[in-house]
Amino acid sequence: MSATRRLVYTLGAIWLVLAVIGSFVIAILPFPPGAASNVAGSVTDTIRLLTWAAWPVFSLTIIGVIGAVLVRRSDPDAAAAPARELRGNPRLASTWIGVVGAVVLALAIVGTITLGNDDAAQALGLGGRTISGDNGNVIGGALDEGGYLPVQVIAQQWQFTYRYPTLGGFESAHLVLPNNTNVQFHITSLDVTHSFWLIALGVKGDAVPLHDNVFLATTQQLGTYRSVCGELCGLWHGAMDDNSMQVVSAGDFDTWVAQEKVLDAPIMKYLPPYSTTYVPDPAAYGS
Amino acid sequence: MTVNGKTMSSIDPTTAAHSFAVPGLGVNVPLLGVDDNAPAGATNTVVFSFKVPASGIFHWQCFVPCAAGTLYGLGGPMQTLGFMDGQIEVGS
Amino acid sequence: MTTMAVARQPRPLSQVLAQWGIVLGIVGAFIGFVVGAQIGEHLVPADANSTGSNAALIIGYVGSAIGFLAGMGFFNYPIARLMGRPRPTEWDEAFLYGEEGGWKRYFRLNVDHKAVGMQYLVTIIAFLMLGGLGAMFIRAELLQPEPSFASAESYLTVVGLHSVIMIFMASAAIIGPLGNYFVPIMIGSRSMAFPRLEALTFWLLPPAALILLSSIFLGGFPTGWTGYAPLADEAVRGMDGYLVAFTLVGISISLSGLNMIATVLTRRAPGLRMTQIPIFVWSVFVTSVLGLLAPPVLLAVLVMEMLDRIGHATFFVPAGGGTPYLWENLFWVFGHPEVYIFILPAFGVMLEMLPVFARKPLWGYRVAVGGMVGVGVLSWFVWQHHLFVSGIAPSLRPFYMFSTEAISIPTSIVYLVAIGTLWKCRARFTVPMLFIMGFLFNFLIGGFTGVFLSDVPSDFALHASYFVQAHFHYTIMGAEVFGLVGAITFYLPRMTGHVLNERLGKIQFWWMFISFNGTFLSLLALGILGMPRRVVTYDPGLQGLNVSASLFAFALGGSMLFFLFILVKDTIVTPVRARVVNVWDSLGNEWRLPSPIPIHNFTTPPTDWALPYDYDRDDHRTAVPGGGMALPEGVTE
Repeated sequence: MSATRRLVYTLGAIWLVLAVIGSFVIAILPFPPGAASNVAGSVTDTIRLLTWAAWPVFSLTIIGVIGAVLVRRSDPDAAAAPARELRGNPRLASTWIGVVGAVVLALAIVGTITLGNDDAAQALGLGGRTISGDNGNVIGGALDEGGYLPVQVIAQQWQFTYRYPTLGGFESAHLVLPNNTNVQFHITSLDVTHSFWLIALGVKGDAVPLHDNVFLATTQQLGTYRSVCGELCGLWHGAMDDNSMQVVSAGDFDTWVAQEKVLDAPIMKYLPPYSTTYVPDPAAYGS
Repeated sequence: MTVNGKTMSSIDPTTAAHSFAVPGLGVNVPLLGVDDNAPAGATNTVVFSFKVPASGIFHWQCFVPCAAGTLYGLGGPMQTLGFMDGQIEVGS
Repeated sequence: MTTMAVARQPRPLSQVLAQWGIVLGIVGAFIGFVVGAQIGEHLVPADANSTGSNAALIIGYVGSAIGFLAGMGFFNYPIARLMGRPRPTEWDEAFLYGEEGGWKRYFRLNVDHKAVGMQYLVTIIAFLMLGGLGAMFIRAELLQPEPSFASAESYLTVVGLHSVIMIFMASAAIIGPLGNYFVPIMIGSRSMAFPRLEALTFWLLPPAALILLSSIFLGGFPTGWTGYAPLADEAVRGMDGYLVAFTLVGISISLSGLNMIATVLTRRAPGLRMTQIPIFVWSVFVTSVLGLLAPPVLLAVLVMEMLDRIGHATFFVPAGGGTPYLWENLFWVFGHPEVYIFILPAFGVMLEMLPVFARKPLWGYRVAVGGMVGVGVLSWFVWQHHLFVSGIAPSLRPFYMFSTEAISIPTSIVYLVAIGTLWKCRARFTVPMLFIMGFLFNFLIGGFTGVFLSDVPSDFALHASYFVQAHFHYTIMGAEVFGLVGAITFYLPRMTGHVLNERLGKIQFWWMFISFNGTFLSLLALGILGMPRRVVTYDPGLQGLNVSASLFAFALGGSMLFFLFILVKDTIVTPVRARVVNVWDSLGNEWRLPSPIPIHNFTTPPTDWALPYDYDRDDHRTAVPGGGMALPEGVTE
C-alpha cells in the first residue's frame, strides 16, 4: 500500500472516530433553550440536528486540509499529476457542488417543515388547558377546540408591560402564564423597535410601534424564566431584563389573576381600551 | 403616596407631567403636573416610600414622554443620563 | 527629467497652494463647516428643547467634507476645465503623481494608485487599532454583570463607535491598500481608469472618521452600527455624525467600485483576457459590482433619516404614516451585500497567496471565479434573514432560509479550490501561509455558524444574541483581518521593500489565533446560552464565560499591538530591507517589476502576461542573483 493510501486511510479512520464520538456527544448534550414550550422544543431539536450534521462536515474539512498538506509530493509513489489535472477537475468540482447543494436543500426542507409544524400545531390548538374568560367564554381549549390565551406584550423605553385582554384587560409588570396552555403573544411597542425574548420558551418577536407581531407558543413546563429585550432600544436596553417571568399551575394562575385585578383596580379607569396597537399622545401629558 | 399632603392611590395619567420609576423594584410614581393657571414658581410635592434590598444597582427613569419637540417626546433629555434617568446604587 | 528645469521658473499661485495639500484641506473643512452650519441654522433652527439645530450640524458636516475636498484640490481640475483653462502642465502631472518622492506626497492629492494604496494601508491599520481600543473598553466593562466603570451612555457610545469604525475598516481593508496598489499592475495597466476618483475614495475616509469621532462630544449615538429608526429619530445630536460619516463612506465604496470595474474592463494589457487575470483581480471585480450597487441604497436610507431628523419627515415613524420596516429592509438590502464586500477580496487575496506557498498551480481557477460570482449574485437575495423575527410575513421566511443556506454552495467552492491546491503540495509554512491556514479554520466556523442563523427555527433562539456576534467576528475578523495581516506580510516587500521578521511573525500568528478563538468561542457559547447583544448588564450566571471572553480579548488586543510593533519596528525604527524584493519566490507578475516600481508602472504595456500560477513548470522564471527578477519586456530600469 502506498504511503499516500496509508495516510488517507489513517486520516479517514480518525475522522470516522471523531464523527461517531461527536454524534454521540451531540445526541446526549442538553442543548438550550430546552423544552419549556413547544417552540423551545423544536428549536432545541433543530439546533441539535444542525450541530449533528455540521460536526462531521466540519471535522472532515479540517482533516481534509491537514491531509492535503501532509500528503507531500515527495512521496515516491505519488507520481506528478498531468499539468491539466493540477489545474482542476470539472467532474470533482461538479460532484462537490452537487453534494453540498443536496445537503443545503435537505436542511432547507427540514427547516421549512419544522416551521410549518409549529404553525400548524398552533392552528390545531394543541395543548389542553381550559381558561374561562370574564365573559364566561372558554378561551383556552382542548385539542379540537382551538383555544388560546392572548397575552399582549407592550414594549416601551425601557420596560415591558403585559396585558391580558380576555381576562378584563388588566396590565401587569410581570408575565405569568398558566402551564399547558397555548399562548398567543401580541407584541407591540409604544415608541421604538424593541424585541421580546423569552429565552427558555424560545419566544422571540420584534416589538415594532403600530404593528402587532404575533408569536404562538404552548407552555409545557412549570418554572421561573428570564426575559430580555433583544433589539437595541436606547440607553437602558440592557436593563429591560426580568428574571421573574413564571409559568404556574392553573390554580395558581387564577389566584394571580384575581390578585392583579385587585391591585389594578384604582387605575383601570385610566387604561385605554385594549387594542393591538397604541399611539401615545405626548401632547396630552402634564397639562 | 401623598400629593401635596393628600393621600392618593392613582391620578389621571393625562395630568402627570413626569413619573419616577424604578422598574427593577416595581416603583412607578406619577408626578402631578403643575396647573397652567398656578402662579409662577408653584410646585407639587409628592411623598412616597419604597424598600430597597441590601445592595444592588437599579436604574430609575421617567416614563412620561416629557421631552417636548422630539419624536413621541422621548428624544433629547429623555435619552441622556442625568436628565430623567440615572442609577440608584444601594450598599457600599 | 524636466521637472527640475520647470521648478526653477516662478510658479503660478495654484501650484504653490497645491503643495500645502492637507493643511489647506483642514482650513477648507473649518470654513465649510461654519458656512454649512449657518445655512442649516437659518433653514431649520433648533427646537425649543434640543441642544442645537440638527440641520446646522448635518449641513455643517457636509460643508466641512466639501470644504476639505476643495482645500485638497479635488475641484481644481473640473473647475479649470469648465472655465476653459488649458489641460494640466507637465509640472502639474508630475506633482499630481508625486514624482518627487518623499513622505510629503502622501499628505496631498496624489493620483498615483500606489500612493493611494499606501495611504489606505496606514488608514486601515489606524481604524483597526482605534476600533480595537473600543473593543477593549467593551470587554473590560463586561467583566462585571452590572455596570461598573462605564455609564450606560458611554457604553452604548463606545459600542456604536467600535462597530462603525470596524465596518469602515472592513469595507476597504483589502480592496483599499491591495486592490488599489496591485490591480493596475496585475493587469498590466499604467494607472486606474479614473486616477483622481481613486484618490477621492481615499480622501473621503479621514473626514468620515473625524466626523464620526466628533459624535463623542455630542452625546454619542445609541443605535449601534445598524442605525435602526425610529430610535435614530429621537437620538441626540451625536446621531448626525453617524449619518454623515456613513454617507461619506458609502460614496467612497461606490466610487471605488465604479473605478475598479472600469479599470478591469478597459485597461487590461493588450491580449490579456478576463480568463487570464489573477484570482485576486477577479475577487476585486466581483466585489466592485456589489460595491457600486449596494451603497446607493444606504445613501437613500441615510438621507431619509436625515430628513426625519431635520425636516420632521416621518419616513420611519408609524404615527406619521411611515414604518420602521422601511429602514430595516433598505438598510439590510445594503447591509448584506456589504458583508460580501468584506469577504470576497479576502477570498481573492488568500487564493492568490496560496499557490506561492503550496508551490502548485491554483486548482480550479475557473471554478473559483464561478464561486465568487455566485456569492456576489446570491448576496442580493438573502437580506431578510436579518429580519426573520421582526414581524415579516411568515410565508416569506422559507425562501430566505433557502437562499441564505444556498450561499454556502459557492462559498464551499473556495474551500474546494483551496484543498485542491493544497493536495499533495510541498507546503512552506511561512507567516502568510500560517495566516491562510488560520483563515481557512476561522471562516469554516464562521460559515457554519451562519447556517445555524439561516435556519429559521434555530434563529428564534440565536437571533440578536452573542451567537451572531461570534458568527460575524469569525467571518470578518477571523477571515478578513487574518487575511489582511497575512497579505500585509506578503506584499510589504513589494510595496515598500521592507521584510517583516519571520520568527516574530510566527509568534504573533499563534498568539493572535489562539486568543481570537478563545474570545469568540466563549461568545459563541454565551449566545447559545441566551445573552443578548449590546447589553451592559447580563445574567450573573454567565459571568464566567464573559470573563473568559474578556481575558482572551485582552490577549487578542495584545497580539494586534504586537503586530503593529513588528510593522513599525521593521519599517521605520530599524528598517529591514529585502535583499531580493521577491522574498517569497512568487511567480506573480507584480513581483517582476523593479524596486521601487516606476511611477507609471510600465513604459509600454506588457504583452506576455498570463495566469501566474505555473509552479509545476520547470522553465518558469526564477530570481536573478543580486536582486530583482528578469525584467519583462516593456519595462525600463
